[in-house]
Amino acid sequence: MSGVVGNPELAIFFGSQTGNAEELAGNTAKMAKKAGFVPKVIDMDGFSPANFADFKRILIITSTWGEGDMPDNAEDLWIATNEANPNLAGVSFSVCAIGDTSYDEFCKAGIDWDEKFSSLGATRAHPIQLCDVEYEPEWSKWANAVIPVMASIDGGESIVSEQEVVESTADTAPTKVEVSADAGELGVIMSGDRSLAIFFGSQTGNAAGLAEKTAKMAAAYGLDATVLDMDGYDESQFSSHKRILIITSTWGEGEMPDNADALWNATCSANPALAGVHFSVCAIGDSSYDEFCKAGVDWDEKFAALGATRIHEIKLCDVDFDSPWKEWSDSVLPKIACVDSNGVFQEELVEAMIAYGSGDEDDGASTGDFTPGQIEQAELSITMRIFRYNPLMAQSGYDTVAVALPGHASIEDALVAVKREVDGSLTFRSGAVAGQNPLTGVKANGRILPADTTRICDLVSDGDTLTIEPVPGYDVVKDLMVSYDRYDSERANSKPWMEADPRQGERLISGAAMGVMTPAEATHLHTLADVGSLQLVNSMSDTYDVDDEYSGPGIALQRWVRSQDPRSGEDHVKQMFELMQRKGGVWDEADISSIQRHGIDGSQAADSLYAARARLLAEYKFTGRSGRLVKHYSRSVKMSGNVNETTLYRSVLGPLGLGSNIMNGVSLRMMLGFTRNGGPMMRGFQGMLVPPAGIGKIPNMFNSKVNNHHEVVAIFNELDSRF
Amino acid sequence: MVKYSYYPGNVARQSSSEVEDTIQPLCRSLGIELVEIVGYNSDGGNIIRQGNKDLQLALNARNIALAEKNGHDIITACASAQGILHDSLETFRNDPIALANANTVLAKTTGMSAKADEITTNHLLHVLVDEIGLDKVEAAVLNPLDLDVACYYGPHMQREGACGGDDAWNPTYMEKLITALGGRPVEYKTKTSSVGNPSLLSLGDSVMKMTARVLNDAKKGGAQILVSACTQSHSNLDSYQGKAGRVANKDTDIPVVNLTEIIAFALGHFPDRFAQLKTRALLIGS
Repeated sequence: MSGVVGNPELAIFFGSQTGNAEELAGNTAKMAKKAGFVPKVIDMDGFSPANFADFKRILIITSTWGEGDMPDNAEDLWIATNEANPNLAGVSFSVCAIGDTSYDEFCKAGIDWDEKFSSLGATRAHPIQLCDVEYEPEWSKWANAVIPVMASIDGGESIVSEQEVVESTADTAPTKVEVSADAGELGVIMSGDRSLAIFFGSQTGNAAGLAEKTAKMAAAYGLDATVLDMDGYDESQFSSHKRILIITSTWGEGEMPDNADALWNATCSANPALAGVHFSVCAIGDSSYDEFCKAGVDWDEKFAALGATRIHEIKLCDVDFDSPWKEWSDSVLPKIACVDSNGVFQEELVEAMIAYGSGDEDDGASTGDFTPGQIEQAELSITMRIFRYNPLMAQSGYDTVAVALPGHASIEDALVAVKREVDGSLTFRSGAVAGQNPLTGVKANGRILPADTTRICDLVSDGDTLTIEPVPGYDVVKDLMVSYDRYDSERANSKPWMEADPRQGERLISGAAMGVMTPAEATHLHTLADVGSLQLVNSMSDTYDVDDEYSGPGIALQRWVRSQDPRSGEDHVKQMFELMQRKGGVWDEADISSIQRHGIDGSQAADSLYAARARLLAEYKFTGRSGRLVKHYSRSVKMSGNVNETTLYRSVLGPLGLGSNIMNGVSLRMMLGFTRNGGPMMRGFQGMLVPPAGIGKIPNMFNSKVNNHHEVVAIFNELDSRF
Repeated sequence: MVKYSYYPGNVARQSSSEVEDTIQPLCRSLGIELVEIVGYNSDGGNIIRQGNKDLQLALNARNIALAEKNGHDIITACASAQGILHDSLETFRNDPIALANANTVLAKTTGMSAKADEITTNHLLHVLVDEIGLDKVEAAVLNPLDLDVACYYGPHMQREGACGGDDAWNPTYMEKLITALGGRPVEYKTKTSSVGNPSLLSLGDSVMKMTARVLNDAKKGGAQILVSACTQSHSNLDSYQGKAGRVANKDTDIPVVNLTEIIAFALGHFPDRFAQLKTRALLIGS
């Protein structure tokens, strides 16, 4: 039962340079959640001061940087707050400031926020806490004191009704059961087991989506719905349910969808007795096929044949399935909700149930605020190999743990379980709110992934081994925790934050000039760097951890986006270009394909890096070795249709580079290639006429042209006359 | 006999002609007919893409259109070429505007157009495991390898959809193939890591360190030779092997051969070259 008065939302802002304040914000959120709050951890970077007033309760945890400066991620918000000076009457707040007493301006950033909020009309709910370098005890003292104080403050109109707060104790259930106190005559069936199993057989995701929506709607009838993937389900468990709904598509010529095939075959083979089960089927198909909705019809007939009671007729939906599905779900849910905990259908209560369900105007299926339910996956038994590093002993190795856990559990869930059950000293970063912390990344079976949002079942199957290691490119602090100081330092040096150029006379409330952009420009800008974690993008690069001077693709991405931002001033754009072009910039990435293969984020980052390089080549006119490489590679392809490696070496490396290759033995190794691969010493006359070209693995000086070479030339002339 | 349109990549008929020497006889032995893509051009090596993405796409559209005229799916022995061809096909399938733009250029310059709908692009490795079958490969072996072999995949084709039925992140196809050829695969951590080949000429130390990391890992794993599925990366691993070792201060001496070479040797082709390789592996070490 929650002790929080009114709206349980609690905003926890962090201003963080090295991650300490962010970590404390996450820990504060966990404590607040236990107290009944709905905490929201918010990075100050990118937050608008106009939105402070949206919250009734605010906690601020911030470090101080340099000589009393704001941390990088708080600087923009601090400036904007001082310009906008929003009215914060009605907001209650408290500040926890981290600093170092050896500096003159101890905890100045926190003190600044504390005084600013007070001057803007906010109520200081608890005095500011100043913490020295050993900050944990002081933070803990502050958090333990401030959370009860915040809970006693009226949070305003609740997003969850008081009744729901009282009744909803099972916060881990996939779909929340909300039972009105005024259930009246329905009270007799509203107690006891209210579970509803919704199975989906889905090829393209449509049936799965409908299953999730149906689960959401079921809560209005007091049902505790669970969405189940047919894939991996044990047919002998069907009989453990009293209420079953099946939503399935049909594939090909009347076949089951892939995820339902095995379960169908097993059910037909085992023929489990289903007496006591009430069910109904919603079938999706295409009436242009002969076997319209056959998979659904098969399940419907099968369940009836096995003794289950059809509580509502099967619904056959054509390609426009939304409307018939809604009709089916509106009809079937009140009926199946009248199956009591003993498995008896109380038909006389259906009308009352319909009225009860319609009392909630929100049918849960609206697309506006739809939150998908958790799709449960079968339990997996796997072996986890977890990297361990003890900095005190300077020892590293792997722990091997056998675990059994639900397939839909995240990597972080698994690590938390290991920490709780096996070894409390295991150290890793966790996200207070899933998907909100960009620093939870790990290397899981070779892939760079966020631990808090990656499901185990997407990585391994039953019986497999899952190896968890720290992300590469950063120093390991302990076990799976790395220090992102390198990233923070590079980001601070490159200043990829907004330096706006005034345009069109737009002004902030304070009167300061600002840039503007159109919605289309804003969308384009967003898509350029729509990645979950820039820190993890750095780890995706195979170059980042061998080149200390390389700022990494994550930083490059930020610079590129800022250079493309129409609000950026000309000087700032120029600065971004220079940073990308010089040592440590985008040309230091030796192989973009090593980033590109890391899923959607990697692909997005790679596209932006290629675009940045193309822009820089135009800006700096193919200068430098990288520029010469692109120019001469392209020209050699245009000249013959294929790459001429010999002229490429000469053109890109120049006399000095070629001389270096001779001195360090590369040229000799190439010439003597025939001694290693057994091929002929010379493959033609060019080896005699223009040596060393044509000898060993040194290719010919002149390429023969490909057939219809004029077509290649014409393509070049059509698309890029620079070559 | 299964037929494929053969794309040699950028270097198999240039600095790595040993690939061309060996892929032809090994395919004959295994019932694969390589149909020449007459007039094929470079795929751009992801170098041209850095200057002009549309240009690289149009060059690949021309190769795809030529292969479609042949009527066969594409096969290549280079992981880098496989990755680039796969990328281009994916782009055309997911972005009709990109396909239309490339076809507008193709129509104007060549009179052809690419459908890019049904054709697939495949690395030799995946054709052998998924299509031909390892049992058939094993049955054709005349000279079992009897060597400890490290398999190098590189990153270019290790993506969902580009590597056949193999696991993109923990691939095992080459290890299974080596076993079928009578060799002993060894495990090491960096078999899908990049050696920085696209920047071989433009970057210095970092590419050498990436190259040395792979070679040294393979040696530490106990390998006698390293087999590369990427013809492009072979240049780093072989010709730059000594320099990489000196720059990274690591032991990198190990014989490096292309995948096509080792398969051909096991199937009984070029026994003299195989003898030379074994001598290097057993006596010289590099």
